[in-house]
Amino acid sequence: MAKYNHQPFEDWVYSRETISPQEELALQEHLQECKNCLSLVEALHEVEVCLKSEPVLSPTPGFTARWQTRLAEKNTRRQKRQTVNFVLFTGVGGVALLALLVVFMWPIIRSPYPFLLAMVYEITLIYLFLTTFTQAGITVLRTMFSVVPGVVWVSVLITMGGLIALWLFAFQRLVYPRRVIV
Amino acid sequence: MQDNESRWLALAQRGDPEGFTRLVELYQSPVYNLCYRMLNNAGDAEDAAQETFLRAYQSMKRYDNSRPFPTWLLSIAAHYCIDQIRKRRIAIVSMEDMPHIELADETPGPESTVSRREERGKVQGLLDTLSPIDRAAVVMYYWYEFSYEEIGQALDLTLSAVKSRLHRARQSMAEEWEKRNQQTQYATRENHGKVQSPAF
Repeated sequence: MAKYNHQPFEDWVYSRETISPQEELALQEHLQECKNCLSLVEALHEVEVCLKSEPVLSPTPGFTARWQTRLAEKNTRRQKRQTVNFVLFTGVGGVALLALLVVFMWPIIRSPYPFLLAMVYEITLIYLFLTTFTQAGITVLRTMFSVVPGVVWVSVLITMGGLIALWLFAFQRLVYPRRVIV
Repeated sequence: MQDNESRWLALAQRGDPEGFTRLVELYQSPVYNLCYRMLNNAGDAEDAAQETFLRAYQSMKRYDNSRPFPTWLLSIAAHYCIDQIRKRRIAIVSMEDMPHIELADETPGPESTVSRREERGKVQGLLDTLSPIDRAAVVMYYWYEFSYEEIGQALDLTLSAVKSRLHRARQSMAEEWEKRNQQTQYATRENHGKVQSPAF
């Protein structure tokens, strides 16, 4: 038995690939003399017959319905997780922002009067600026109305309206392109 | 059928659950069978098959249409089962402990059921001796008649790796089969001897 080199014969048998007629002849000769290889070939044949005769097993009835239930459960779980994550993120973020705000505003919170005075001063300045700006604008408009004739105003308004309508139409076409059914 | 499959596939890729449900109905048996052959347990196989379809449903947008859908689906199932085997380190179940599951397409008598169970036990016993990847390759080759290329695609292996794994799996199964046959013959002789012994 030991005098045989079984390796090539075993490779031919187990690879299940087509071998040349010479190799086939050599294999047959070897199998006639080597009981060990012969019994392995027979065993492999029986194994393959057994494997091929085994049916494709089916799950118990209602598999699809169970899958749909499972999918729905998974989606619910995911939504819950997302909600929890959102609440956590918002909560933690809010607390962090509040903490930050407290840290930065701490001098103001401790002594608020100088800050309030500065605020009143700034608001007054802004109010004065806006009042002056409005007065100036009204004066300019009055002057323009008295100089430019009414027909020009009407034509300017119509042109502007047309341009706006055109822009809206182009924007709509760009955002919702017409679907082409192939 | 092919047209229907393409239509359902297109629907599923657009996120339509109804289209994917049709695909679940169509492929439940091949997926379940692969999971059962890999995990050797009806409950685990059902679980794995369900999980496979969930994963496939979630990854439908990433599915490459140039690839056959069953190959892709069975690839997900095989990888899931391989992970499960590695995680749980499933112990090799002896033939006597094999769980009994009902076959949807058969209504056998008692003798036939026993014989069928024994056959399945033998097959599962052989599959259990293989590594998870070799087992997946064997199932794909013998049950679904996948080509070496398809097995390679499904299991992320090169062509030579597939050939080498199948070669090794065949050798291992043949040796195991022979060993079990010898054990059976030995046990039969032993029993025969015990029956004879009172006469001596």
